[in-house]
Parts: sequence; structure tokens; C-alpha cells
Amino acid sequence: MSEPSGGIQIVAALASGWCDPDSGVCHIETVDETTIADAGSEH
Amino acid sequence: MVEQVAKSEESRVVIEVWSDLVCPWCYIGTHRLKAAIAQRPDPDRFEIVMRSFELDPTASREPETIEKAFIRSHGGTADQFLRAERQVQAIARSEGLEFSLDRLSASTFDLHRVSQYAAGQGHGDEFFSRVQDGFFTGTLNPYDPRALAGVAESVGLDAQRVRDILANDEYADRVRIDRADGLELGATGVPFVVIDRRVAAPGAQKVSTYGQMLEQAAGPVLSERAS
Repeated sequence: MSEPSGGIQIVAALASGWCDPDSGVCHIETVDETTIADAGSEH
Repeated sequence: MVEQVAKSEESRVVIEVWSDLVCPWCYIGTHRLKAAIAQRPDPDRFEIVMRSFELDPTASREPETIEKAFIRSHGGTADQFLRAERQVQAIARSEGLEFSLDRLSASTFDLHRVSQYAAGQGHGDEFFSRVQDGFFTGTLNPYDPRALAGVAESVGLDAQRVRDILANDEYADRVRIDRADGLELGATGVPFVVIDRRVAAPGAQKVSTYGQMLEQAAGPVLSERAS
């Protein structure tokens, strides 16, 4: 999915949810899980 | 006769997981990763190594409710925060995971220091996962040194050693180095899973995605065939 960085290939985009390494804020923003949770939420 | 087609005795595969206790997606993502491993017939090949990623190095050492901590750091209202929490709770529960909304937030630096000690003793994943599960099910206060020592003892670690670590600053550098390593490797989201230092993915991926990553790094799922 992306060019290898330092020999490691990032093979998937941010998905179900994630926490931002810089701000510490956690997000829900995937199509798959909008059936359960509204997209675009963050906390 | 049954012939083992794939290489069941192949080398072990190290899976590094950059994670923080306060990160709900780390809790959910780790369980998904373990589900993907369990779906393979060669789960013993995989070793999970917990890596520290302190999401908020400026967090207070005094525990406060998660909504108070969030609003103080990022703004918004308690209603907005709790609505998002309930969304994550619904996802967790749909996957069979308890998810308490009654959690406390504080600095996780000391927990990470103890996790580093646990990792050095070969119990890093077990220790961190027990603390994580206890935290999210609302059965453990991870900011209580006695609780951490108790978990450590339950996985075979020396509780007194843990109390000593908590009373000084051992492993502080390791915690900071882990965070820097994760960022250098491309962690745009936490959890950040790196398999065999070959493939990686940020955030909590689906079980099927983790399965594909395992296959890419470790080879296809083993199968048996009659011969």
C-alpha cells in the first residue's frame, strides 16, 4: 500500500479506529463501522 | 497418511505492538490481532512483543475521570465525549469485549516502565494485556502500584521488583526510545502493529486484515492433505 519505509511496508490504511500519536485523540472514522458507530467521531 | 504441507517448524515470527493503556483501539486491536493468530493452525510461531507508546507524555500523575481528562486536554463537552465512548463501547461489545465507561485517566509512564521490565522477563504481552483487560473491564486500577504488583505476580514476575521499579525511574529511557522507534517506523496511528519488521499497519485493523498481514509476513496458513 505504501513504499517501504526503513524496510517496512505499511500495508493498510488507518482503519476501524486509531489514536493519534501526536495529539493523543482517538478516532472512529471507517465505513465498515459506521453501521455500529457514526462516522467522524472523535474523542 | 497426512502430510504437513507447510513449514510448521519454521522460524518464529515477532509481532511488535506499539500501544498505550488509555487507547481503546489498542485494547480492541490487540484482541483482533490475537483472533487472527488463533485462526491459524500455527499460532505458536507468533510472539507478541509489547512496545510502549505513551500517547500523552504530559498527562497528570493524578487520576481523574476520562471525560474530565479529555475535556481539559482537548475541549468539547462531557456529552460529546460520552457519546463517542458509547460508540466505541458498542463496537467492543459487538466483538465480545467488555468496555467500561467508568475509567480513570492519568500518566501511563510508570505502567510502561513496568511493562518494559515484564518484557525483559519474557512476560511483556501477558502483563500488559492483563492490565489492559482489567482496565477496560473496570476491574483494575492501573494507577495503583499494589494493583500493578499484583498483576505482575499473577504472571510470574517478582512483585517486590515491581514495587522497586515504581519507586525509582528504571526503564524510563526504554519507554521513550520505544515511542521514538514507533514514530520512526511510520506509526501514524496507535496501535501500530509491525510483523517481522516487514509489514505494518496503524490503528485497529479488522481480523481479516491482520490475517492477511500474518500471511504476508509468515507465509500462507498451513494446510493438511492426504497423500
